[in-house]
Amino acid sequence: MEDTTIQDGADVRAFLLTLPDSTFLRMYKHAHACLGLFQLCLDGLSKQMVLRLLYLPSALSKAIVSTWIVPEQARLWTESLEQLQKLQILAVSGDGAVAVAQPFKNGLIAALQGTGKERCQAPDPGKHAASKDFLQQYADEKWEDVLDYMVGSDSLEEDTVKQALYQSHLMTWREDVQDFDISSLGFQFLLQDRRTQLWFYVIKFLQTCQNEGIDIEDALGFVFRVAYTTFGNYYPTEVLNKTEHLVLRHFSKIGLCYHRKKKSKQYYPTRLALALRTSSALVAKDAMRCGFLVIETNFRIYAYTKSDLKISLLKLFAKPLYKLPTMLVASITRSSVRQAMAQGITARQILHFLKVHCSSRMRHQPHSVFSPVPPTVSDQILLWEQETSRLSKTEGVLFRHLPKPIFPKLLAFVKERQACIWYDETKRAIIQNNNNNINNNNYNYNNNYYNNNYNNNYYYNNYYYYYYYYYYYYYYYYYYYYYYYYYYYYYYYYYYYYYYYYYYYYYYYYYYYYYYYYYYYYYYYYYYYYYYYYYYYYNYNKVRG
Amino acid sequence: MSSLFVLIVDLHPARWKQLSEDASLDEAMNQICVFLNAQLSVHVSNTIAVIGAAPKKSMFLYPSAVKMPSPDDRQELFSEMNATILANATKLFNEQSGERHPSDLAGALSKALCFINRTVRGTSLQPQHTTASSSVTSRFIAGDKATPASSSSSSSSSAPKAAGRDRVSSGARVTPRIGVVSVSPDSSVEYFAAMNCIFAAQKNDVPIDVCAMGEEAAILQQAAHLTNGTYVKVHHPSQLLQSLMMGFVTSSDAHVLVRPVQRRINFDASCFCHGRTVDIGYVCTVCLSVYCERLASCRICGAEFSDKPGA
Repeated sequence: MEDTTIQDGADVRAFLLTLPDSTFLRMYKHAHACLGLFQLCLDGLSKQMVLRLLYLPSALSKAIVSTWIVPEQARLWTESLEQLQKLQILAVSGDGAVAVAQPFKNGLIAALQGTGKERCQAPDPGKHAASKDFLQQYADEKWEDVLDYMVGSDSLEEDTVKQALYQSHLMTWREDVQDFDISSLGFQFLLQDRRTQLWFYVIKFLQTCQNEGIDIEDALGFVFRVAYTTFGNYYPTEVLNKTEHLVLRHFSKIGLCYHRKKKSKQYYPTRLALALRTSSALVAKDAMRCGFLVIETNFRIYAYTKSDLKISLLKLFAKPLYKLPTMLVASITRSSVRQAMAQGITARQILHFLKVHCSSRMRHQPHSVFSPVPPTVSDQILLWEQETSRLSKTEGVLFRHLPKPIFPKLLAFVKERQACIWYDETKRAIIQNNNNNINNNNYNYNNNYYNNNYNNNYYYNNYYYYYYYYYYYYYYYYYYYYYYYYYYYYYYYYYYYYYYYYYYYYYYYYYYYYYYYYYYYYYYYYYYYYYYYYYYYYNYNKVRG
Repeated sequence: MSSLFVLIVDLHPARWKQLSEDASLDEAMNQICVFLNAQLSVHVSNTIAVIGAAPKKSMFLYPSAVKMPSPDDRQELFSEMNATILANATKLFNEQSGERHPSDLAGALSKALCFINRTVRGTSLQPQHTTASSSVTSRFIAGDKATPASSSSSSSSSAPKAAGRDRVSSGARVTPRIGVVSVSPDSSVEYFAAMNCIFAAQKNDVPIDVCAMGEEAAILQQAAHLTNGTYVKVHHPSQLLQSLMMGFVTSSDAHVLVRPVQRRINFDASCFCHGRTVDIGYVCTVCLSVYCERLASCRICGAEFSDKPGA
C-alpha cells in the first residue's frame, strides 16, 4: 500500500511528459539527472530495454527490437516506446532504427561508470559545520512547520512556501473568514506518507516555476542531483547557477537542504532530500518516532502525543472524547468517518495513516501479520466507505422495442464500444452510454450501421430470412393451440406406431451386426496375440543366449 | 519490486590465461562492475553481492566484512563498491596456488544460496512498514561466516512459508537471482555438490543465469535449465557487458521479455563410482544412482542387482 504512486514514478513521469522536448536535452547533461530519471520515472520494461540498447554500437531496427518482447505484451512496448521517445531517451530514426538518444546515453553511461561525479570540492565550513543530528532536527522542524501551518498554526514565516501551498491548491481562500484554509486536497496530502508528500510538493513547486518562466530544466536537474547526494556531506554552491540557487533557497526553507546563510558556500542535503530517492531513508526514524497510536477493537484510539499536527490529523476522521496533557482519546464513529469522506479522504488513506502510526506494541498482536490495525476496525471503515458508493449515477439513453432480429447485433455493437450500461433480452431494451465512442466517432449508427451492412449481401439475406421466420413462428404458435385436441386423440396411435417401429429396428440391427463384429474381432485378437507371444519369446531367448 | 542479485565470478587463473591473449581480468571485471551498477540503478532498493570462485576456494568479494555502506549512501558509492570488488578479485586471483584444481563452483553456489536464504527470511521477520533494502543490509553478517550447503537445503522447508506470508503482508518483497560468469569447463569432481546446490536453488525458486565464456559448461547449462534461468554463451570477452545486459534479467518485469532459448542442453551425468562423465551408464532401479560399470549391488542404497531375468 505504501508509496505505490511514487514507487512507480507515475506522478513524476506524468509531469515530465508535459514538458517541452528542449528541457530534456539540457537536463541530460547532468549524469545524476539521467540516473534519477532512469531509476525513478521509468517502468520495469522501459528500464530493461534501455539497458539492452545502451551499450550497442549502432542502432537496431524496430522489428528486431520488438522480437525481444513476448507477442502478447507487444502493446505494452509500443506504449513504453512512445513515452521514451517523448522523454528524449530513445531516438527512432526515419528508417525505423531504435537507439538510445546521445545526450541521455552519455549521461547514463557516465553515471554507471562513475565518471560523472562533481569533482568540485566545497570549502571547509569550519566552525559552522553541521552534524547529522542537527540536520535531522532541522529537517524535521522545517517540514513540520509547513504541515502545522496547513492545519492552522502560525509557525510558518516563509511567504514563498505559503505561496507554493496556495498555488498547489493545498490551501484555498475562504471568503467567510477572509483567510486561507486547508482544502480537501490538503487533507488528503496530510494523510500521505512523507515521501509521497515530498514528491507532490516538489512537483507542484516545479510546475509553479515553469509557470513563472524559471528554467525548469535546471530546477529539475537540481532536484535529481540533490536526491543523489550523500547524507552528512556538504556540497559547493559555487557551481550552482541562478535558478539552482533559487531552488536551493526554497528547499532550505522546507527542510530538504540546509543552507545556513544566503552567502554560505556549502549546502547540506538532509534525510528528506534522500527520501526523494528511496523511502528507506525515513523508515528507521519514523518507526521510532511515529508509534504513538493504540487502537482498540472497540474503535477507540489512544494517541500519546502533544503535537497539534497529529491531533488535528486524527480529528479528521475520529471524534475526540477527551484530552489529557500527553494523550488524546478519540473514537472512530460512522459519522466521523463519513465526514472525512465528504472531504475526499479515502478509507485507504485512513487505514494507511493508522497502520504507519501504530505503536510498536500493536505490531506484536496475533492479527498483525497483515496489518497492526484490528481487523474489525479496518473492515468497518472499508464498509463505511462502500456505503457511500451504493448508488452511482450514469447518464444514458434508453432504446426500447427494438426489432427482435437485429437486437443481438445491436447489442454486440454497443457492447463492443463499451457503451452498454444495461440491457434486457426479453424486453429487447438497451441503455446506452451518453458520452461514448459511438458519439465521439460521429458514428450515427441508425444510418451508418444499416447502410454499411446493406451493401453486404449476407446481412441483407439474413435480415429478411429472420423477419419471415419471425412471422411463421407466430403462425405455428396459433395452429398449435388450434389443433391441440386433435393431437390428444391421436396420442395412443402414435405411441403404438413408434413402439413397433423401434422394436423391429433394434432387433434386426443387433441380430446381424452383433455377430458380425464378434467374429471379426475374435480373429483379429487371436492373430495379434499369437504374434506378440512369438515375438517376445523369440527375442528373449536370443538375448539370453 | 526490488531484487537481490548474487553474482558468482569464476576466477580460475589458468582458464583466464587460456581464454584469450588480450582479455585481461581487469577489463572483464570492469565490464562486470558496470553491469552491477546498472543492476543497482534499476531499482532503489536492489541489492547485490559478488562471490569469487577460485580453485579450492570461494569468497565474498562484495559486500566485504570490512565495510558495509548504509543503504542511503549506496548510490554515490558506485565507485567505492567497484574498487572493493576489483581489489578483492585481484587479491583472490593472485593468491591461489592449485591451478590444477577446478574452480570451487559448488562452494560459491552454496554461499550464494545461504546469503539469499538469510536475506529473504530476514525480510519476512521485519515489521511490515519497513522496506526490503534496509533490512537486507542491516541484517547482513559478514560473508565469511557462510555455512555449507546442507544448512540451506535443510532450512528450505520453512523458507517458502515465511516468504509466502511476506508476499501477502507487504508489497516490498525481495526476488533473489543468482548469476554465474563462468570460464571453466565442467569438472566431474564438482558435479555432485554443484547439482545439490542447483536442486536447492530450484526448490527455493532462485533462478540461476549463466554467462559462459570460452568452453561450454554442461553443469551450468543444466542449472539454467532446471531453475528457469538463462544461459548465454559469450564468444569474445569484449562482448561480455552486452551479453550480460541482454541475457541477464535485471528487473521483475521479466515475463514481458522473450528469454534466450537454449538450443542444445548437455544432460551428461557423472558416474557415482569414478566421477567420469558418461553418455550411457547403469542406473540403480531403486535410488537412480548412475554407474559407469556393472555392479552387483548399489553403492549408495545397497540394493542388490540380480543377473536372472524376471526375478
